[in-house]
Amino acid sequence: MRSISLFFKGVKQTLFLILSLLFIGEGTYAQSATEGATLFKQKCTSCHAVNRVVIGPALKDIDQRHEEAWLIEWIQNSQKMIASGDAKAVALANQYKPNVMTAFPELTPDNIKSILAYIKEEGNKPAAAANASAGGQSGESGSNDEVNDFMLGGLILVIIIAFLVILVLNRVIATLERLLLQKQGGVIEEEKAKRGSIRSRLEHWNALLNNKKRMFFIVLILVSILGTMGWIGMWDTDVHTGYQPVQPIKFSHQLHAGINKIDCQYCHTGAYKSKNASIPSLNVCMNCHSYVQATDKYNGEISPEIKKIYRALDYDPTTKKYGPDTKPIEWVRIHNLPDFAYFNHSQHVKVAGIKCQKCHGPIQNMEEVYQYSPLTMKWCINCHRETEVNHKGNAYYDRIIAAHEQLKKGEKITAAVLGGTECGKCHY
Amino acid sequence: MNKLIGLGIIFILVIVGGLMYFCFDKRSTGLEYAPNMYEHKAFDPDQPNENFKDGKTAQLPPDGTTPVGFDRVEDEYPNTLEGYESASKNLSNPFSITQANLIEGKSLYVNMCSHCHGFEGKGDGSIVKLGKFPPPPSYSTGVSSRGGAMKDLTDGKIFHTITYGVNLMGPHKYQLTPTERWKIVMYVHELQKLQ
Repeated sequence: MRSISLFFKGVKQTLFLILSLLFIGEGTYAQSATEGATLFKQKCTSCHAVNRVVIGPALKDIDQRHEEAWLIEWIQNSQKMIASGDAKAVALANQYKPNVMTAFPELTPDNIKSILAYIKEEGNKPAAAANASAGGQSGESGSNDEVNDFMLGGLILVIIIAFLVILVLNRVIATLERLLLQKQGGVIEEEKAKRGSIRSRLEHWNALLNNKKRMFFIVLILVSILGTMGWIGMWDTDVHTGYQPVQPIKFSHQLHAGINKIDCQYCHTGAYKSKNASIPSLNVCMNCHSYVQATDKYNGEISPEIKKIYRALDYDPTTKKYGPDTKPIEWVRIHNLPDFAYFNHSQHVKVAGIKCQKCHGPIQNMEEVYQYSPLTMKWCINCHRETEVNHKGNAYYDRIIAAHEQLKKGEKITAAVLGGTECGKCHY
Repeated sequence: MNKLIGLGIIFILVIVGGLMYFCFDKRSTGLEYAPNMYEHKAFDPDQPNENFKDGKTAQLPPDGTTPVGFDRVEDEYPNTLEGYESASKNLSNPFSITQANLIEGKSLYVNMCSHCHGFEGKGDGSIVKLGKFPPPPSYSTGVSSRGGAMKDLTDGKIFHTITYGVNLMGPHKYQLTPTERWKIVMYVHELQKLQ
């Protein structure tokens, strides 16, 4: 161990030395490249990346394709160059039609030189390193469940082994006792002979069955275990709480809603204006995922889950063209109300202003979505009994409020009072 | 030995009970009794459907139809630079600036735009801060890629951009009705005034 740590220490020191030498040697270069990095991120990344085409061309080796003076003029005002008829400029404009490059008159030639220095530095990095430096968190999907199953299995195994050990130990103790008695000259021989025979075994079981206390205890345990299972089984019949089907894409709400803080309604646009919260169509995914490809987590490859979107849309990420061979993503429905119950999302989200989490649970922490609420009638009714109606600025309630003003002084008005528990509100 | 057998039986029962309790499969909906109306005859939009050629229940609307609450802005103002300029000239917000409209505009902006553009439109939304998406230009101090300062963008230009998107921003005409877009335009004008 010691030799390994010493070795690492040595490597660390050498690396440190090399790095510091590099920094001293190329101090000015590094500085302009860092300035360029900041400027590049502010001004260029909306349309350009170093290693791939985004809106405009990939910028790797740009200094070899164009002269510096030309680039400075182009970046400061590309439209002017096109208008003046510069052959290279016109060719570029035609290639990337109808996209037009923003003019950056505020960038000085020195600014642009530092940006070019940064691009050169980035372009020289090998692809894998560049991707690693792009940053990002690594997901540990699914590991939780495996651990749980593993732990449960282990626990049962330990119990079984413990039981076996007890059995063996008991045997050993019995043998030892017998040996001890033998030494003392006891008469165990007969008993020992008895023990082996089938008949003795049967008698033994008989004795067990005849022992009323013990039988009562065993039956009691059996009844309570089976009774509990039956009880739970009956309550859970037709209740899908905890249902977590495997979805065709490993879409993580934890990443999108939790970490990235994208509002639920951005994708589930129906939640506040329709009966259905609606599963977003793939064009909504593409609003971000035409750019976001998570290549840094897959060694420069596009994430296999994002590729599923592209395949469904028949989208080619290199040419950025959509093909005709589309096929839908078959998401598996989790929350399923029977057809005799009417539920309207917009009524709850828009009118009542209820947060999604109230029914869907900690959805922003769910790597994989499961049904949080039981969606039973009792569950609906309980909430309708407790929820105070948000009647401010809602003309629908004005008359009722006015009529009940005298009766309701200081009293809560629950959904149930206004007919929130009437059968017809949910059943049709 | 009798005691031992009794203990053994208890142990085994506990293990069997535990197994049966914990092994309820989260991938299945569990025990269902008479699930007739869970598996109803009416089609859900997300269900497969043999009655259509492509096997989907959710069909695209026929060509040339306009959903209720939408208008056909794409016919008059196509997704080109000319369409953008013409929208700037001819379109103006049909909604008057009222407190109610602004509040609705703000809530729509927060839900639909803020994760990129930031709560104050400075291009510092949550996913930009995480470095996962490049920053869009600030409404108040940025420069538009189609010329001019962001703070000078007109009603029509903002409306056109929300409708079709530009550069890395995708089209939002499928998620937002024209009414909602106009209310967002109204709120964006407020953000343009910020310093």
